[in-house]
Amino acid sequence: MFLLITAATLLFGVIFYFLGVNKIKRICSQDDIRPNSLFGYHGAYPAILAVVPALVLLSIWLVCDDLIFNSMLEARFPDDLEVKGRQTILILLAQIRNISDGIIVGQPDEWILILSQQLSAWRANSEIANAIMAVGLSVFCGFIGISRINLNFRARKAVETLFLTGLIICSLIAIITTIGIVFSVIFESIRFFKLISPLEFLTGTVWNPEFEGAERAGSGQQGMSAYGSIPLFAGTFLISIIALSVSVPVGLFSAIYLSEYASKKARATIKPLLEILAGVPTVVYGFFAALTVAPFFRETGGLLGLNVASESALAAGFVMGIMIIPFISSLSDDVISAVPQSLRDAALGLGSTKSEAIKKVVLPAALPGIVASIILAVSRAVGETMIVVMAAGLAANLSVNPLDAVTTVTAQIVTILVGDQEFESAKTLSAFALALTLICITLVLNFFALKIVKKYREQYE
Amino acid sequence: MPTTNTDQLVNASLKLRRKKERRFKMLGILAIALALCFLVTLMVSILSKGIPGFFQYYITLSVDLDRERLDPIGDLSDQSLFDGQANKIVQEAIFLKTGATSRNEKRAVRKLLSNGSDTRLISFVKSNPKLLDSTQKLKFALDDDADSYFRGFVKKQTPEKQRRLSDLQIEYLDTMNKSGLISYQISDYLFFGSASRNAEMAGIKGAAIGSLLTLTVCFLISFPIGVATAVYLEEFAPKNKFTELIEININNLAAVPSVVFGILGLAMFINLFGLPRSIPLVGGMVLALMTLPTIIISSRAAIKAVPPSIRIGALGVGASKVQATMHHVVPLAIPGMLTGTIIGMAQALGETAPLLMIGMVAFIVDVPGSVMDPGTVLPVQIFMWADFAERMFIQKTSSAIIILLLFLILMNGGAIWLRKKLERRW
Amino acid sequence: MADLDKTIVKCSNVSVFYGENKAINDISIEIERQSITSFIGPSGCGKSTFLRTINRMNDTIEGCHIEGQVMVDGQDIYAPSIDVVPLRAKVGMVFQKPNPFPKTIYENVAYGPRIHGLAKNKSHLDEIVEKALIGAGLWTEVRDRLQDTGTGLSGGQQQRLCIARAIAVEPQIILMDEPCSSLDPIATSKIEALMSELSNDYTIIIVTHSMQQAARVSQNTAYFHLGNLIEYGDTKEIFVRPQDPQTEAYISGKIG
Repeated sequence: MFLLITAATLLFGVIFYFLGVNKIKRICSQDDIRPNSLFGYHGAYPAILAVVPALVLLSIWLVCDDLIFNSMLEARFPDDLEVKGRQTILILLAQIRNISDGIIVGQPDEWILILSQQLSAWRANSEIANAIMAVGLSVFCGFIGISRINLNFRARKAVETLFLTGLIICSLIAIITTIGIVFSVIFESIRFFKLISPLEFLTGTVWNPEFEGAERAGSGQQGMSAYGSIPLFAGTFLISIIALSVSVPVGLFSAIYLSEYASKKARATIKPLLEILAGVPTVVYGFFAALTVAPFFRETGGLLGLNVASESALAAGFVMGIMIIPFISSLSDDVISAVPQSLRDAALGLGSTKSEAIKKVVLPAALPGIVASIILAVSRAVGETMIVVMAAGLAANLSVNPLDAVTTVTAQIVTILVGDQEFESAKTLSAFALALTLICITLVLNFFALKIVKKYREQYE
Repeated sequence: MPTTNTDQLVNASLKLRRKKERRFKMLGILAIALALCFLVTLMVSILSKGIPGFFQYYITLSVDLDRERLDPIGDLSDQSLFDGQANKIVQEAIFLKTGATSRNEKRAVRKLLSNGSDTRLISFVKSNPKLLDSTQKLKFALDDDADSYFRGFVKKQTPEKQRRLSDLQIEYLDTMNKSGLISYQISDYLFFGSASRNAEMAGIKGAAIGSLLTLTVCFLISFPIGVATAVYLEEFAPKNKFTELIEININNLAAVPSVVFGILGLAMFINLFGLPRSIPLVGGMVLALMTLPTIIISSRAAIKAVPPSIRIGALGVGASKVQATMHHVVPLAIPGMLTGTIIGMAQALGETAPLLMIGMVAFIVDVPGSVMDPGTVLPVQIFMWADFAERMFIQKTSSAIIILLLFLILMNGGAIWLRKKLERRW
Repeated sequence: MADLDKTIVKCSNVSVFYGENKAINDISIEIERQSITSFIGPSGCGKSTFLRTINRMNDTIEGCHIEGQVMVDGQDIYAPSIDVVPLRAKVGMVFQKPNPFPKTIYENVAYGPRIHGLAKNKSHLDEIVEKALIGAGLWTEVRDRLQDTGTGLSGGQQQRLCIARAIAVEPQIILMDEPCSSLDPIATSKIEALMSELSNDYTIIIVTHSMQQAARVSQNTAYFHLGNLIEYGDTKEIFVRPQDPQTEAYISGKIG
């Protein structure tokens, strides 16, 4: 149905295009003068008016009518219905919708069947109304467009204004996305913080989210939920430190060698190879970490007499470090190359060796940029998900020992939301609170990195 | 010539300084060697596990395609074939070849064959109905334990209790192998099979198609919007607070971790808009929002690279700003925009976390037929398979990774080729 | 023997190539010790390139190689066994655009002595820095703000800082590549005055595109054109009685 109406709208667009062009041609041949815009623009204007508003209406209607129907259905639920939270309502609504679609499972209650029939009726009516409205709007706007066509009508300008409006709306998508993220996260986080105090969340040292009323296995008692996020941040911190201790030395020295010592050919070959490390999907790194690196560390640790967990922070952090190497090497390479040659010449002219010139002149000059690249790498490490989910385990240990298993903020978000979800319980909502803190941290880090880069750029401009 | 005091001091310092220079250079080379070593280790690890995953062991059996037994109703309908005795026929064939007679023996032999053998027979019958009532030689996959034996993962030396195959089963396998019935060939299950709990039947077809649908949706949404935003910001936007706000937002979005986009998809598209979970449409929408900043930034760079002389030339002959931009600047910037978009798509192809959030973790056996059917994507499939401990799954997971990496190489290589081919020297 | 003493730099049949491109064509010249020699000629004729062969700064340019022999103080500086580090301590350089390090004034001057290990201790280093700044005529202006950044000085001061930096390692020769071209006339005259003082202790070779400057400061002048050495001799002779018609054409302004 949707496709049919869309096709019809587009057809109207074409029709109005030709109507518009014909009208302006007629006017011109009557008075024998040329209009200020090409004929095509006079056709495009009513065409655009015919197509765009109708399609927008169509889309919005499609999305909204289900929402409206849901509230209408809910209003008609029997008063004596036992409701165990939002989840029950959602399940019932879904069931009604399925029945309306023709999927009947088991023996639903009488009232559910009645509501399904009503839903089907509403839907049918809505579809027809939508179609009529869309077609009507299309024709109406098309005619408005046509009516505006005369010799004085600046068709090109009108079409270009419509075009620019379209561009601006597209540009707003970025803002809308941010607003969407902020709202979806903050909204649910607020609901979370109504159940769990922010203080406990930020300072508690035990993380054990459980669904309401869930029993601890075998104990027959209700599990004690705890939402202290410190172990998670400690885990994130630990793994990030390990990752940095791999990526910063390797990345920085690679960058120094490539930009200062390597021949053009060597640089052209090696730089892309390092970039490959950045292009490998994180799930592949996760697999590598879980199946190759973690066992390797565990066995090597065993040989050395150390007790390395099978899902150690060391394995996850190490592999994450490998992934981050190109971040640091690429960005550092750029900032080192940006240091003016005149400074190098001055140092070399005084009789420095190359390493002295680099260590004492080039690197200090490039330092702000290098620091910024490290901060960006940290931000990347903090937000990384798949490697930790696959290799670092889910034990909310509070530990600074890299040989232990820890978990991170991102791993918990995934675990909580990829399972049963109950948007009433603190467990599901805690994921949003975690996401909120994650966003804040990454944004703050990126803000500082940007600020440093800006300051650094001023130095050389 | 006289050496001054300074000369002497300088010469004295040389030895140590030269040593430091050598050490410094060595550190650089060491760092690069380490990085390359990591890369090679990663590749070797994946390849060594993955290449065997492209192959499987099959057994050739002579099967009696008895029409009455296979197609009792007689119309070759799915129901008829389902009611038929395809399973029994295949089992009889292998009992014959191995000489299994007692209940124990038969049970042992049954386990050597893949669970999907009857499905295979049924689809063969459906595609070749004319061959009914004849005896045909067909290849069936071995069960993954039997397969593992031939790969050397199940060893005879291990005591029987600790093995997944009994002595009897191994005897049968050896016998059949000696008779030349076992063959090692490219696994058609890997490419054309769908998700399955049985390692020998598992394949990536569903996930691959899901990835294709998801990426298509992602491209169709993000490319026009990204290009439109880039054109607006570069050519038309005035330098005011509003424009700054847009640019700040784009930079922020580029920095947001991918999980958060998944959360946005979950909260807004699924909860608020009521879209179904796990469908390529929602996946594509989430990925589109993630890829937007990349496309915008690279498109802006492409537009910036077009020299001002082009714009001035167009304006000089009386074109409006919009005409100058759309007729002259944008066409010249399209190659750069496409390159950036392809790279963005390649990144989106490898994304896992946001798609997990919108529910693409479900075990979906059917191949998605449209963007509204539930499906999964290749990286999520890899993630799910990685949990299974069977040796064959490890190999197939690595094979799936190789396929994913090949796609990425193709896309990135294509982007670079495109950039080189259409590079203009202004 | 007396001749050897007088000549500090002797170039024989020196040609410089950028890849396939011949930039300097077969030049032989002898620079007098503790004199000021100027290289003049129209832009792009290779003066700077030739200057940079004397302290092997052309080594930093990829694809640049040299034929012929350059002797500094009796040593063939392009011999394979030669280390450029002590050479560049012996032959200092001041560049066209002042390029002080983004460090303090003190650190700028102390850089050279530090890396070569010329100072026994901190107070010795302080002495070296002071001496260099005095020699560059900058001491009185900066003595109270040695910890300020070098880049905060005016253009002329920055260039004198670069001169101080160069003389802090006690070179024998100072190469100056158009040192005043980015400075105003007052700063220029200050540096020109400095040059005559410096020539008491150092040999100075200066590349300049200003004939008037060459006439003002140098004892010997070499005229270059398109990579060739056209004429070389006493400055007054070159300017009043040039022997080569090309020299005459340049000096009288017919070519530039």
